Amino acid sequence: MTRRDWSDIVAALVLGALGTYVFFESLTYGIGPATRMGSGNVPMMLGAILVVLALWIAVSAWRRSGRQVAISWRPLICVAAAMACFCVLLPLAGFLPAMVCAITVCALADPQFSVKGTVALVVSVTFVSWLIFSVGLQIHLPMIRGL
Amino acid sequence: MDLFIVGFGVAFSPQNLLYCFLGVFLGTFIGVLPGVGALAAVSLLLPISFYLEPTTALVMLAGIYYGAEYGGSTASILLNLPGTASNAVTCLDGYPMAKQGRAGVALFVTTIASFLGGSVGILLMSFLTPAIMAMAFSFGPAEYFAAMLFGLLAAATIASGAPAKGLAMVVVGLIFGTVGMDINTGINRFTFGQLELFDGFSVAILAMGLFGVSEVIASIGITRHKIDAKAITLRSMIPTRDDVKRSVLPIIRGSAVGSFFGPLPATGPSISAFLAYVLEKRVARRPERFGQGAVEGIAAPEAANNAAAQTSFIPTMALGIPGSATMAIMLGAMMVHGVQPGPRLIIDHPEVFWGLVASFWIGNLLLLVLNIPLIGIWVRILQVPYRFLHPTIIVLICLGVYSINHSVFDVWLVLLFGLVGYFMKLLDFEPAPLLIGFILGPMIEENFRRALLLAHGDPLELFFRPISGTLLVLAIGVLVWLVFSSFRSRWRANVSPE
Repeated sequence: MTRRDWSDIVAALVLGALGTYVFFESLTYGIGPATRMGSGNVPMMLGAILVVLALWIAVSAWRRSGRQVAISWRPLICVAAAMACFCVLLPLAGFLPAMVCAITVCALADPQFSVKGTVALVVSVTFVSWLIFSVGLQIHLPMIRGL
Repeated sequence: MDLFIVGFGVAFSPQNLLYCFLGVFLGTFIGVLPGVGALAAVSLLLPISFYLEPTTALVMLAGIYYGAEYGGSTASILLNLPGTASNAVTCLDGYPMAKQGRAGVALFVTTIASFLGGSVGILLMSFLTPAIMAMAFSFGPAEYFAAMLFGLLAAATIASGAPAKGLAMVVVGLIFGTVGMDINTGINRFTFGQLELFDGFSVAILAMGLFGVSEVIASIGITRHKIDAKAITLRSMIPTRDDVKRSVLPIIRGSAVGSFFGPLPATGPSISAFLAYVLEKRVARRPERFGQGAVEGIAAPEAANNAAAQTSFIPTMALGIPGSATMAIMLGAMMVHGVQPGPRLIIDHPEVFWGLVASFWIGNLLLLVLNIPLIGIWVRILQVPYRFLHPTIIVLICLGVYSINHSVFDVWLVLLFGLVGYFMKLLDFEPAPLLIGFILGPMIEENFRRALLLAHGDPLELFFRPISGTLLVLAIGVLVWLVFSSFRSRWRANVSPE
């Protein structure tokens, strides 16, 4: 337990920053009169409302005790890395390397990771995805680029 | 009558039948697996649905949605883990029944209750939707603006925790909705000069990030119980005469509760199931039996959540205002296909509306077959190790998003929203209001601008029109209640000793 609800205070700060940014960015889009509103009118109001709500969240969090937030780092990093792998490898190296890398890295997220199971998974999921997306939906997915 | 002439004609086409089956099958599959909700499944299949005819796409997506309500009870009963949020109450009496060796009966009763509740919901939907559409014909921009504002504020109350958090999520969703080119002025908003953002981003991207990726991250490494697959045989599913007698009235009451709360904004299947359970406990002659395997305690909530799943289509179809995040995705799918929900839907696209209603009947019958004779398959699926499931879902998300625009930029966006969604989950910010805000954002802005134009720039004039005035007063009422309830709970917290 923490004396103040720090996690909510951080969340309120992020929301407040987003609201402030949206508010000032909208001013550059043009506000216009109420009968012919500019593009910035509605986002400006939304930004302002978000800042008010962030203040509301922050004030109530300041006056109550909070709990420690436990982030599960291993799944978080593995899933993010797997998706990043896919994004980087698909245009550079092609479908096969992207799939192998993404599935393997994502499988590492589980504490019960096994090499044998992962190999089977890579083969079957890659094949089924190829069937669905390349054969079924006719999406252009070069197997390996640069060959 | 149109249901039989137009609807079944459309729904019985081989393609629609196939996708209806695919939808309910996948829905049951996803529903059975704890931790992966209907929302994640619907958003996962959304990009694939872009390749289908609009009716077929909706038939499949809707099948996933109500199929998950059927499947969800299986995990609740066998594992004491709800397959989807709306089956959480079913754990209370379903798991004790399984421990007493009556899992088969519990599975049978929940399936029948689901079917009957769903049927009541479909009947109501096919009569009420055209009636509401007829009423909504007189709606102008002011009325739509007011109705959407009311829907948004109600969406904020979905959030279980602080109302300020729910409201903040709605506003963030509205802001995300403004990304892209403003159709009135041609100015690019919040695009950071990225060409990919000029058209805004697809609802599929937001939904897969917030519900797909973040749910996978959160559910990796959670351990589960072992179950005995051989114990569930067809013979063990036959209920006793006493079970049947006890279930009839709860199913009727549950269907009524679900039908009533389904179409209301922000209530939907989960709250309906909970309220139906509470109601049964109230009217029961011996309420102490609840929580120890009372068959009433599983029949009523399962009838309620399926009735609500069907009736929640009413406002989505008739007004174009989604009451839940799943309905918001459904609405997004319709708009991608150029089908505008609202009063003109039945006139412009009778085949979409009646085809969908007819497919609900077919889908519910298919689910009856899938969940009683074929229950063994699902029980076995519960034994598949999760470590095979997560990587599969992640690469399917990547490929699905890539297939929308053939761009990895979209996949990066999904990753970003996935991380945002995971931290939101950690900090108790609900993603559902955000998604509803995102879908309604462009429409509410458009109607707001038009309404003010017609009102010569005077916002007060919106209050003087009878329908929009009533809705705006209701919306203000919800807002005041939200503020008041949060201050009251804080006041209580301060008074009580720490």
